[in-house]
Amino acid sequence: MANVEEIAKQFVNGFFTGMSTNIAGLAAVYTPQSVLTFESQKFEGANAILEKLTSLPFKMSGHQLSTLDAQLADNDLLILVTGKLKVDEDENLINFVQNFKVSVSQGPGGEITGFLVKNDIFKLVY
Amino acid sequence: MAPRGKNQPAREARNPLGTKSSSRGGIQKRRGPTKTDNDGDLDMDAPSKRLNRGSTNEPSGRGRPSGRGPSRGAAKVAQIVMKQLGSGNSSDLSARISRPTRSRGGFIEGLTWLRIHGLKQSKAASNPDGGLSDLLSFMERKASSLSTGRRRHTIRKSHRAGDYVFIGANKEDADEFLKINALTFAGTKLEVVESNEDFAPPKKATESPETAELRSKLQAILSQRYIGDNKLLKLDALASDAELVTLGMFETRERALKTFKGLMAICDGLFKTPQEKKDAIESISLANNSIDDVIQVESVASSFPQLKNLDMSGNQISNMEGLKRWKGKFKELETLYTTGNPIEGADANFQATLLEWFPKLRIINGIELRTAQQIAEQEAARQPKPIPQSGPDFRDVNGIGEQFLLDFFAAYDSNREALTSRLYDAGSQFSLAVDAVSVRDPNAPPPLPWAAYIKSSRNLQKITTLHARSQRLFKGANAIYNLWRDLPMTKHPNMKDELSKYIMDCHPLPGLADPTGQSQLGVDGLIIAVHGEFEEYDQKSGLTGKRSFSRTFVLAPGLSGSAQIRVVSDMLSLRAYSPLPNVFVAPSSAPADTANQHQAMIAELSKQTGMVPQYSEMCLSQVEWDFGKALVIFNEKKSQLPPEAFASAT
Repeated sequence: MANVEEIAKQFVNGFFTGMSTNIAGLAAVYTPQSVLTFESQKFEGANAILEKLTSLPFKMSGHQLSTLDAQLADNDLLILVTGKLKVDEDENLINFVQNFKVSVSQGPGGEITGFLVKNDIFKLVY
Repeated sequence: MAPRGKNQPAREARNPLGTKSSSRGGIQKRRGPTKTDNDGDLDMDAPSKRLNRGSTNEPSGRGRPSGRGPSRGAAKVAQIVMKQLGSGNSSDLSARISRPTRSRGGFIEGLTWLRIHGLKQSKAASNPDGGLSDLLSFMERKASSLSTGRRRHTIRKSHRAGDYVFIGANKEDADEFLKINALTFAGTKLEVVESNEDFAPPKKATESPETAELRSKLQAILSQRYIGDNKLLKLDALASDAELVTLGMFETRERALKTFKGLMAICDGLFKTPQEKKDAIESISLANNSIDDVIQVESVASSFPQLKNLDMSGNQISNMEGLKRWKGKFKELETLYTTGNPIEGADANFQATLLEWFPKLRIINGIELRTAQQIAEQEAARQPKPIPQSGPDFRDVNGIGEQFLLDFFAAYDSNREALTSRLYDAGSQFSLAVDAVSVRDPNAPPPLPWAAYIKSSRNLQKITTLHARSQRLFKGANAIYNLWRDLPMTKHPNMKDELSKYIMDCHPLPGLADPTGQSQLGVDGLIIAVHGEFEEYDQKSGLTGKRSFSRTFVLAPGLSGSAQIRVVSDMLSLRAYSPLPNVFVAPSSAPADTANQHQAMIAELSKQTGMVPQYSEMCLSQVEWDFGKALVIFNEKKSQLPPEAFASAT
């Protein structure tokens, strides 16, 4: 895969834009095999994951990404993101760390046609 | 010297700043019968230090703490202040400090002063104290050997001023010391003459004589206004302090401001460490100073940021604007007096605002508006914890992940080379990223510098060129070890003993590609995300400290028979130290149960005010469930409340 890093960046930007604007739209990146750990709770499959993400009792907005690192592991993108999160209107930002293992589908010309999140581990580290 | 404010007696009676009001303001240790040392100085500690006077290197004649005695704490504090106040080069000061005792107790006969020249030219001048103690003991020794009698001759007081040393002794001893004139001390002929300047002021000190004198006078005034037992500095009614008035310190507003700044600067200079200052002075009274804006005394906040009690009563503050310069300061302030300021009638909300401005403030004008516990609860409520951290999601396979983690951090700390050769191979990848902008406890010490890591930091947000990115991705066990070898040494907490310092999650990864190609379906691996902390020792900078980290591993079965697993990917993220929530204790109050909390507040407010719950609830909801504010509002509106607001007395 050419330019793993830029592809990772593209995914991350799209993902966090989705998180703050249109969570339901993220349904497309999860599959029935996707696994999400949200804090300590485990959700498997796109349906369960979307249900969780859309029913959070608070609004996560304004993800501020601090670091992004990516490696190619097993032909998937392994992504480690750290940043700060604004929850509801609380002015206190919270540190968060999120891991993704993402498979990238490419068209015949090598163009990115889609992302599928295999693993998503979200953690707050106050 | 007692402060001389007109309404002082009343103020003393309910002095918030200390329960025991000492009869006088002078620095004075509590002790049985008043004792002074021979020349009338307050003797801070009883044991007779005079016995070893001959070899003393304490020429100014004040005692050392004995380290014993019942009121050691207060005495120690008083001692520090006393010592510091007296550390100027001025016996003038000593005289002032001792004056109250003199005038009160038996008058002790004055000393005869001699002026000595030659110390500065002598070889002893290069000694640590400039040779002063050597000179003094030389003189005492010499005088004793010169005199006919067997008596010891003692220097009672001494100080240095410019090229001269002044010593004070009783008349008889002084006559003996005069005989030393023209004798040789450390290679220099001494000149010893009687000094007719009483407490001769320094002649060639670095400060101008005027400044030095003023400083010593202010020091003396400060010392008289410090009550060691109560850790109280009484700066009240300064403008009617006879001595300050005599000095003309409050003649003009400008002069008064300068005087106050000077007083604070002297205070600052008295203590070696902030802790010493904090221990010595917990309370300050600024009462009756006609202050209409705290800008006039702003430096109190910078000099005493950890002040606990403050008396501002009897001033001219008429609105919150006049207190604004202190907003956000005095983070430890618990008690505040504002009575007698125009603001009391002018701003109905000023108490509530004060509670907002000073986070630990509990008591205003003697009324407790919130308890320490309530403050703690409010602080806890401000902590952002919207999502309960209830433990790891660790879905291991055959205990491999657990075994890996137990092994990994210990090995990373002790032998990175062995670790890379054991668990990493030519296909393994490692990268690290520094998160220098993470949220951290503002009260924690500043984070360790990032220098050791920053050049390898692969934050793709910042490292944008292909070349730099690939340089910072370490492929293969050798390259990884070569990097690790140069990273600071670390010590991760022992996972078995201190599990609470980690949070880790683990997902099985089915169908990971099998590098041997033997399995078409791939092999099973693990993805592990660990969050934790470590102690660091940077060999290059010599710095030690803690950092927080998050680290992600992708593990796969080992290729050879020898290793069970291998690390496919290892990504490290570093940030400033900030302890993790302990997810391994049962969540006590979280998630915050708002309804229960409100009920508890209603019950408490009803209990404290006698209101029926409905009224308590109305009151609380008006102020958005801020208990402190509710109490304030209650106290204001109390008289207007209808009878049914209160529970009928049964």
